[in-house]
Amino acid sequence: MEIRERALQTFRFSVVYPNKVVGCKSVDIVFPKNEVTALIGPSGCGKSSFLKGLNRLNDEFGCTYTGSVVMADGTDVMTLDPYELCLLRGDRIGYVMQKPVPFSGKTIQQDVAMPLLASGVRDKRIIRERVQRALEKAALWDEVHDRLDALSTALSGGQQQRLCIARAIVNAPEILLLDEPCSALDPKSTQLVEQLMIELAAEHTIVLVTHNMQQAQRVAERTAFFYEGRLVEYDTTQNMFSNPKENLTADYIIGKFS
Amino acid sequence: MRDRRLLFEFAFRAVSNAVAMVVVGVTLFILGLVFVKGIGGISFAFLTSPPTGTMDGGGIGPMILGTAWLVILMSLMTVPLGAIIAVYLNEIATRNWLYNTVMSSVRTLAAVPSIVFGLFGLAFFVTVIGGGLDWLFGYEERVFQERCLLWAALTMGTLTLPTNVISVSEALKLVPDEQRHAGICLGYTRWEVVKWVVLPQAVGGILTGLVLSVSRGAGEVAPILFVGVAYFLPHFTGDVLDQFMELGYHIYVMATQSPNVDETLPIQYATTLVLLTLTFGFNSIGQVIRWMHRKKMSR
Amino acid sequence: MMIDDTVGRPAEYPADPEAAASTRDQIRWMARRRREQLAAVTILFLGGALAVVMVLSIFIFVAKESLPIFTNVDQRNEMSLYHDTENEEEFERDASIFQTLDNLLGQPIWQPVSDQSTFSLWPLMAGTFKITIVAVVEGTVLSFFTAIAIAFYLPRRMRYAVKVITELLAGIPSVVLGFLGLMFFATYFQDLFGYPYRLNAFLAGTVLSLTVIPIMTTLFEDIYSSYSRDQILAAKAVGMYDYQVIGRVIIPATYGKVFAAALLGFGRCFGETMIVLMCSGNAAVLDAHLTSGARSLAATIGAEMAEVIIGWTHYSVLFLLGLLLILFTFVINYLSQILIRKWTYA
Repeated sequence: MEIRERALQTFRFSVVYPNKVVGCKSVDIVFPKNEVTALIGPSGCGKSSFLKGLNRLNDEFGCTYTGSVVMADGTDVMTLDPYELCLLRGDRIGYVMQKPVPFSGKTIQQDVAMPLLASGVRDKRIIRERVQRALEKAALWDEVHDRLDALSTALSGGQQQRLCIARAIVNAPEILLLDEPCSALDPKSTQLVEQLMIELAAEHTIVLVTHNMQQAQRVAERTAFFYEGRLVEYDTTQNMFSNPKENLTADYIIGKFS
Repeated sequence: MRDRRLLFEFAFRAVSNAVAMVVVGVTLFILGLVFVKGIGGISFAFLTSPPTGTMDGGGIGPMILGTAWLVILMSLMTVPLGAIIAVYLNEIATRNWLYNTVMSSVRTLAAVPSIVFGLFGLAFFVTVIGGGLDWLFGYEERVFQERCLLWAALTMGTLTLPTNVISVSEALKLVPDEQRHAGICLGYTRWEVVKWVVLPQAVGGILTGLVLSVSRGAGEVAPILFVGVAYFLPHFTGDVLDQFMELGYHIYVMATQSPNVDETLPIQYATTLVLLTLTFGFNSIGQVIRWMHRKKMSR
Repeated sequence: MMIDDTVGRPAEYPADPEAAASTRDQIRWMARRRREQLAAVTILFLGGALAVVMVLSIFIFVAKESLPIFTNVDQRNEMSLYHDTENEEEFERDASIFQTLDNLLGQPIWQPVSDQSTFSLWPLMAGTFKITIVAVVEGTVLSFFTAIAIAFYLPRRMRYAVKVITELLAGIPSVVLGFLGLMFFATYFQDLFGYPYRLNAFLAGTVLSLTVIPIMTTLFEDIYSSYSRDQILAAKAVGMYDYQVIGRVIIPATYGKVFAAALLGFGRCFGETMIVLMCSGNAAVLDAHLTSGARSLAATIGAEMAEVIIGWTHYSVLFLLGLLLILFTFVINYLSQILIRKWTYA
């Protein structure tokens, strides 16, 4: 499996929870630029801990890390101080959660513009412009352009998730982390979000955690299989599903365990 | 055998329900009594004019103003401080010994009898802070080291602090963690998460704290008995370094030290009705805000 | 590319002047965010620390004002029971700390304003105890049945109404309750029970119980409502009536929490000032009759502090009473915390 340009790379990356439970153990993986990479595996296999480790959201749960996560320009995410980390999360790594989380009490316009607050953009015109662009990219503009002042919590679940994606890309980050973004959505919305991911891959490197193998096949160019905190196999999606190298992977794919 | 058990069951149920009804009845009776006996004495003149003579006539204007000033000054101290402590406890502090110390301090503060706050006000605000300010400004006579409205308000602020901390904490706990994490994922610092995500959603809690502490502060008399309240001072000056009259204290004085208690009874009931309306009104408003906020957040 | 160690931005500015300006802006902006974060966290931390300082300083300053009766020789002399005020010059003034203790704990008379002031703590403690016991016993019994009624017996709509109305009771200021006790209930109680004194410990305790009923009802009701539904259903399935479920299943399982709640009610009661001040008759007598007048620690402070001269013996003794109240509070709070913890995790 060849990789032309690297967007993000981990070296022996481990996440350990404060109660000594190991989230993921010694993961070496390279995410190619402007492609969708899916992380699959049974629940509790550490794929989500790994993803939350990439932008160090796991700090919130008191996790500790070993190893390193390196961006394309050589920045090691693990060595950043809290303020650099804020910049990194704000400008370079977008994150979309499992459940759509619109900020309560904010309008759609305000909600999507929330990251701009932190980047210090104060020009109303620029804010409007960038919100519009993000909403257009997230395929939500047509549905909400006439009610930008409605509360973001009033949107439907699928719209809320696309709003969160718009919010994550409003600062044009290089990397977009998606943690099972469709698990709380209906099939129609799921289809929309999947289509969206494929489109967004033109400009962003996308890392997608999913428990749905069909989704990985539909969306991802590469797939990594996690089991019990370890990276078992990493290959192009086609190879992975047609010709898995490890027995464990094969068993998982044919549904021997889940 | 079965009959006896049924009888017991019936008796127990009857006793429980009866006691509940007694409690409800007493509450309603108290409210009704004050209303019926007090409503006759209420008029615009009564609410605005100062007391006359040996407080056997006139109105309660200065007391209402004094109570209002006391409550406003108190809120200025206790509401921001309560919010700060609550935010510290819920958003900033890690769960270590420091957190536990602050938490148990707040709990202790809530449990200390109100009269002790009065002692604290006298020993600390009047003597130490007031005396210190006099020394600092080089006053020969006592200016700050006097029992006055300012120190009474600060004493009352200390007393109502736990109410505020608890109200705001409750509201902060209602904000789901996902909201905070979403903020963090946008690159917010911890304070920005508080400022832009959490606090806008906790406004209801801060408001509840404000209203409940106003209700409490207007109703408490014990802590200010000897920290600034005046027995008789017909005109409210508005100066924070003056003594002042207060509704609750006025009721106490009229009921226990008035030369002709029975004659002034209508005035006393009317004053009680005004105080009850104030505290009760604010308390009910606070409960309604809390309830609405809870409903809004649980949606 | 190097990382600028303050803001995580490229150390060299881009060659393009516009981009360089924007980089500079961003560095400045991040520095501002950083300052704001540091300032905010500092202020919040200081606020938290202030809560601790407040509790400590309440204790320290009340203790400080009460110390002179032990440490100041003039105040000790004042406290000495045996000095003869007629011949003050001849009297050798060098009373020890034991004279003070003798005054506080000796003959049970509270007589602060006289030639020979006696500040015995016993009548005050007895009065406090009498009033509080009446209040807690009445409060516990009434709250217990009310909570049972709310949790088990009342129809759903009534439950809600009763809960709301008991909470309304908590919003009535104590001075209003005291006023009604003094002006209204005192006479009716005397007619009803026929005891000699119009104002007495029983009346004060009864009125006082009204302030703890809302708190204790809420606590009890929480305890009973949170008790496992399955256990109740299981008990009913073996043919128990409601009163048996309550008496044989729920009460044995929750009496620790109930006791802790009663203790909290106790803590609420003994420091209450206004009701006691207005309804108890304020007679500092040492006896065991509930129907005689009583004078509590808190009410004594409330009644006498306004008239004392700051810094004199009487002033210090009143602060000593305050110190006792604080210590009681600490002990009761601590005990109830331990009880709650013990019975929650046992």
